Amino acid sequence: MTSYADVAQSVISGDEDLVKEQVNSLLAAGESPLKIIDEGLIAGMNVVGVRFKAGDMYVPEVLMSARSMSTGVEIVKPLIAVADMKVKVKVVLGTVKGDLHDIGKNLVRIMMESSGLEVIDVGIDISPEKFMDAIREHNPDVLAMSALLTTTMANMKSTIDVLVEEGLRDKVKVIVGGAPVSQEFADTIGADGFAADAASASDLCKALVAK
Amino acid sequence: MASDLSIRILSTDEVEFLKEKIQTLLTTKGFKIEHPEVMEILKKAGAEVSESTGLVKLPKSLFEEALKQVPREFTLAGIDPKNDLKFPHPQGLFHTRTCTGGMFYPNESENGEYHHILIEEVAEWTRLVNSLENINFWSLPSTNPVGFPAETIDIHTLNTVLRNTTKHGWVQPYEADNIKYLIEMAAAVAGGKDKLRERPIISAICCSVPPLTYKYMDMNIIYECCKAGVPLQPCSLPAAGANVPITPSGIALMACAEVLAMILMAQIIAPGTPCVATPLLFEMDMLTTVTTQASMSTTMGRMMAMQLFSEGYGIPCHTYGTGTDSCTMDGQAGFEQASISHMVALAGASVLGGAGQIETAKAINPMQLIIDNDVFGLVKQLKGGSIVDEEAVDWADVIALAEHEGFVDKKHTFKHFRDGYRTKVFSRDSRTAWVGKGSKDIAARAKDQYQLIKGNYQPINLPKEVTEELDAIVKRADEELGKKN
Repeated sequence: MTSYADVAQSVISGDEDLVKEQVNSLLAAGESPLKIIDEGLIAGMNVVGVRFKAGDMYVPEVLMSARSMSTGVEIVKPLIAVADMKVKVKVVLGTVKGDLHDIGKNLVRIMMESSGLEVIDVGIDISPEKFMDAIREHNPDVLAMSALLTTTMANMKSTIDVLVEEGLRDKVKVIVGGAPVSQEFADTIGADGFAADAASASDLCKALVAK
Repeated sequence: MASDLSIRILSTDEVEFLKEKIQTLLTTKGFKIEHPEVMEILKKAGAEVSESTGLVKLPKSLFEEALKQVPREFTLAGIDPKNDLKFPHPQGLFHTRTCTGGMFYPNESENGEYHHILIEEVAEWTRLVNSLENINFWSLPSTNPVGFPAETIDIHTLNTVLRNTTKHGWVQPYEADNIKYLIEMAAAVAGGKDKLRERPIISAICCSVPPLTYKYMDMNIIYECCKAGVPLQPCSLPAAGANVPITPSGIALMACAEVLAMILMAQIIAPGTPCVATPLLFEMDMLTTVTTQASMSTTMGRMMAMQLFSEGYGIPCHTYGTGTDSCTMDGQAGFEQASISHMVALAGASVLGGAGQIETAKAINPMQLIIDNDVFGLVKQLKGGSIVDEEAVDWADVIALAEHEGFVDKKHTFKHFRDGYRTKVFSRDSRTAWVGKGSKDIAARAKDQYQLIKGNYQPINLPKEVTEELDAIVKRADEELGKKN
């Protein structure tokens, strides 16, 4: 008999096929879809998060775990009422204008989703106007901007300037990240937070929203 | 011993393997570009171009013809001809350049903190670059746009650099239209557009977005430079494990393919445009996700890329030849800079880049630049190799040796004792002498050297009409490009 702990262990191992098999087995046995998510899939991912922060797991392993968790969630999701899905923090995420790099942004998205955040990934080369459109449409708690280049990071400030001009600055927390970005830069441009890496971005969002 | 010392990380078969894969990538898989004019030129030359997706495939015959057009010998001109950079290097050595795009600069208080570099510090940095014998060309730091628009950072920075240098430099435009102004400024200093074509005192960086994509700005740099006769240093900056395969050969393959695509496009637009292939490799750290530049696998990838371009294509090539992931000038920085500089130079690099940088090229430091100046001097000595013959081993004195005879007063010693590079900031003192001089570490000695250089610096005086022309171009750029005006 498959247990929730088995599902959690398969998520930790990043064994997508086994997760699929075990989740289907639990559903066939009449187990609660929400419990499969909370006590199996997310429980496993929570262990992954702790091990990653401790330096005991590496990014490729975390991604395999995240992919396994997503596969499990996709199986049980149709069986859960929308009202029961608990989303605590909503984030609009994108790479700023002029910057086509998406690896770091995608890692942030995966890490955030694995931590239970809802992420609207608006993509790369996003102008301030496009960010404004996304904020108006999705009403997020956090705007997360990424830049890899020193030549494009100035567009983070341009976006914040437009947020102020459009009267949206108080409605959303702003976090920034990417290779050349620092806490000092974040402070200079008026962002609410700086995430040094993909793993810390989720915690930063939660901490800012909890304030 | 070889007089041009080298290391081959790839076998001949492996060089051919990578060349075959690169040709397959550019001829059958293709690459994506954004630039209507270049798309049209490529199409007319026989390339398969999709106007809707920007996908370009070069037929094998066009690939080979363009490859033949790449100049293997050319000169990047110094503003002062004594600083001209000939390719290949006449003594079989290499040229060097400073960090590009570094934005953090140490605080005056030396408290270990730093700040976004200001324009007056760019002037100070450039004067230092101009004073160091083993730093051959400059690049533009990412200046804090205080008092001018963010859209013209590169233009203001170049304006400052040109007033403080006699050396060649490469420029990195920040927006698609900026390249025209940068070329115009270089022409003002060179004595006109024709003079700039004849003696290109600048070259330009154009970059891919891995894998195999080229955005409009970088295509426009290629296009405008080809029109103006300005040499290109096409760059690929992939991060192993992030946007290209994680292995040294995987990143070398992708970076070299991306660089070669730009070189070939330049030859199709303007045959004979000088190009220095510039794969600048990085690696994503799989624990922290940060981009790194100094892992040994990255060094191995760079060595492969340098050998591939120098031996496989005969094209001058350039990569990071120093730098560290350390945030400070510590032992890690020293090891990484030594390892990278030696390996990359011996693998055949024509240019060792990144001087003065720490923290994965995000920060620049004058003291590090002074240390790198010495490192390059030492590596040049190694790269130059050494002669083995009767004169070199002083056979005449050796065979005639009398009992207890020394060599310090021999003519042979007098003739050769200056052969090696004499460092400026490395310590060769006895402990007693070292303590007597204040027990200083290399950073402190570099700081002393910096004060000495600053004290002796002779300012560059551009003619009044040139500075006025530069001012006029900058003013126009601010009006035309800067949103804040």
